[in-house]
Amino acid sequence: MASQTDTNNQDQTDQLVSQVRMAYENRQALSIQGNGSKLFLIHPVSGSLLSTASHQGVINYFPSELTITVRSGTLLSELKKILAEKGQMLPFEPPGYSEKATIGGTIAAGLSGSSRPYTGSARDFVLGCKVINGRGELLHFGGEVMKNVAGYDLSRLITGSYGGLGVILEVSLKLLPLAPKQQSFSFSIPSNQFSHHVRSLQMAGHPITGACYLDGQAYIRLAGSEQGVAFSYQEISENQSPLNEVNNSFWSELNEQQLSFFDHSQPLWRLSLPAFPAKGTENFEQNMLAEDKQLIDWGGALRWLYSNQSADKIRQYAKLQGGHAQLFRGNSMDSALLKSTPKQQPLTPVMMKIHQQIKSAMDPHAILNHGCIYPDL
Amino acid sequence: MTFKIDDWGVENQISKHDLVQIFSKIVPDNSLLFESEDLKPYECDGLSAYRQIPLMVLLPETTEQIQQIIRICFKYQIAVVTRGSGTSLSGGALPLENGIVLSLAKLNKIIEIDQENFTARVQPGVRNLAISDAVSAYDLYYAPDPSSQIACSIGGNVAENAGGVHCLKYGLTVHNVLQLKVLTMEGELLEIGSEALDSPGYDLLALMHGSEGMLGVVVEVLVKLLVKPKVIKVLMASFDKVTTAGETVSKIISGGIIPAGLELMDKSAIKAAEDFVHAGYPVDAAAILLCEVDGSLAEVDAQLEQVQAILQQGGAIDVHIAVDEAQRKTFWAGRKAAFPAVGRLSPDYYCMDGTIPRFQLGKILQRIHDLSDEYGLAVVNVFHAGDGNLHPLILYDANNPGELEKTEKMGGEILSACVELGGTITGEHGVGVEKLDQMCVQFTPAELQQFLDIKTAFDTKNLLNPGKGIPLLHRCAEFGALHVHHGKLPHPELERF
Repeated sequence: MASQTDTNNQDQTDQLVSQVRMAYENRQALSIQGNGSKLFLIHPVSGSLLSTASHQGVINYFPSELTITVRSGTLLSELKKILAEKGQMLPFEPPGYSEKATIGGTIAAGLSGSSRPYTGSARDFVLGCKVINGRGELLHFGGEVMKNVAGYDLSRLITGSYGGLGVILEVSLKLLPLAPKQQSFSFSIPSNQFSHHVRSLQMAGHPITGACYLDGQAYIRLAGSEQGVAFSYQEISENQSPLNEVNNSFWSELNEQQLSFFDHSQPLWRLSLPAFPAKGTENFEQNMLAEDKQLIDWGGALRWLYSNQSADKIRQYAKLQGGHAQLFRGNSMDSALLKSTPKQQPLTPVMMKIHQQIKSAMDPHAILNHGCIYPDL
Repeated sequence: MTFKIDDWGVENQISKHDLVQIFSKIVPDNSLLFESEDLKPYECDGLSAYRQIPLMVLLPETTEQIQQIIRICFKYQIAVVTRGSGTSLSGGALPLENGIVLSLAKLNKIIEIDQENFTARVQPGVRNLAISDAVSAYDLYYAPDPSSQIACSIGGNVAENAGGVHCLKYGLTVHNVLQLKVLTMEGELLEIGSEALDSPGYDLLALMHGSEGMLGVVVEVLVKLLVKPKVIKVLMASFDKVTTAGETVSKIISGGIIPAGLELMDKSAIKAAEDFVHAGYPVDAAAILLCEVDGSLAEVDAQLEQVQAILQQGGAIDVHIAVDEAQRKTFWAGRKAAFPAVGRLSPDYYCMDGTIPRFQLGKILQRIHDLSDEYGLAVVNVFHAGDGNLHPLILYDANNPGELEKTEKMGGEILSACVELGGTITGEHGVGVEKLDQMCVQFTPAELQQFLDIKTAFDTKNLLNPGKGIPLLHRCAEFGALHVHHGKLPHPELERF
């Protein structure tokens, strides 16, 4: 056991490894948490708490390399601040849902914000990680370089696995420079023209990094050099008027679900779909109940939906369109129903089988956040 | 040379004769090769130093045929080496003596182009460049552009997670694929990923990329397409010192610019390329940087101005902007032809693929220089400078006894140096059979065992491309590079040495 007296030491690697190793030997289930800001996204896990919250600190930050390596308990807000000081950012715009959100939890949940279709997702920017597998072994995959095909890409596999494949201790991320200029605006447009409109802006070569639709208004964000953004804004305003100025903070309020849209009490669903569904598949708008409310993000590829419709119906629709539906927040959903409704869209039997085999390869005694995504995983 | 690779002890449960009988009922005669003269073209891939005639070669035309073939191989324990265009530079498609080569070259159709969603659904044998050609009329393109893009297949690109000169800005194959259809060794069809931007469950899509044909057989790929930039400009800067060029790369990126491409060539690479394609390179320079920026006219103008200033402050002796599209293409043609150009200088060359953090460039170039002197083998350096990926080409003559072995030893030392400097043994070419020993340097036995367990999760009998990608632990023990932590040998139950 590492010394417990060193309370200022932010490196908890030894303690965490020995806790997992002991749990492996005793076949003791563990509930892995940072600061618990995204616990609502998983099914409750029984087991003793393994906290990465105090495993904090930046290990390496090379602004000229566009990479950073941090311990998993480091606060997301802290990390963003460190990067902003050097004019850089996490390109996938991860939501925190709390000031106490950690980078470990962020990567474990694998969530990405409004820039996702244009700059990439959380896993796209993961270069490497240090994890403890279910045998209590400390393993290092990937690295701090942009390109690396040595061994299987387990660092990206672990991203979005909610701790079920390993306890994330450190993560190396690719960064991007903050754009010198960001400009946001909105204009009114019928909902069925939104995706087409975004597509035509992309075809025209405008540097879009956000495109959402709410209450009859399309919201667009441009990012790039001063000159590039000014040029695009000018061109767009000539074809589409009037444009209403929007504060850039709109996007963080959207990502953090702080817009008034997110005040509803029905269950909140997250539907990830192709922006343009296959011809012949029905339009969800026609199937919505009077009280259903939606916000479209990702230029049409993501829908936030407040609805009391059944999980089966929503999931059937999502599947038909080539995507999937996640029960994001239960809200007023009946507690028994909430408990029995899988958070994520159920997998086909053949996919579940391969998931279980992977889980078992990483965590043979199923001690790491077992059942957090699906009961049998 | 014929190289007997360790196929992890796969023992066929059927004779070649009987296997031919079974397969002849699944595929047409011209899709089943088993006479040695027909097998000869398949004896190696792009890493021609290693050769092995396979048991037979199958060229199925449909997913159903692949499924039947795989099920037979599973039943009779036949190793399967999947092959696209055979351009691997690490021996990923090197045949096994008792295994079949499953060539997907006949699955070369573009199934669907979705102009609205910016995607194309293609079969695995479609050539990388054929995708961009097919969607060019819609003002779209497929971004990853490995130098072999005229020949290499998209299935192979997935297997190797291929990069190219534009991946600093536009990503690797893994960033540009939305969905894969994959057959497992048991013949089950997995749909991994979707038409949407993410999927429920684990990110198997990421796992499949770069898995070197060891986890499944890719039978369909849904790629993401990008809108062609409105304006593209390329600058060529020459330097009187390679290290100055390297430092300038970091300055460009620290300046907040992500160029679409950023390539470095050293003096010998410049000369070889210039002699070969007459790209207009300055043959007196110690190094050149090619820097491409793209976007709207206003964006490109702004970036060009900034990059030019950084290059001049960074000590470039000359900066030249390609005057038109023709010259831009010529500048790139020189870079893309660097390998064949070097092929004219020397009977053989050995291409390395290490990656380092960019700030270590000076150190690694010095180390390569020292090794070149020590081994008496010339080295030509081309470098995806933007993302720290080095391609030192070691020149040798395979007809000189012992020279290949010497070259491999030197290459191994370069890769070990990359790991020491915080990098990796392969950025984009894969491990294949070539870098198995260096895997022992980069990973601990527990990490290697974790990879092997993942392999077994997909392929219980270890029949998919066994002996590639991940070394067995006893190999590392024999190589003598086993990591020993705190004086404890991991997995003490294993036989060693």
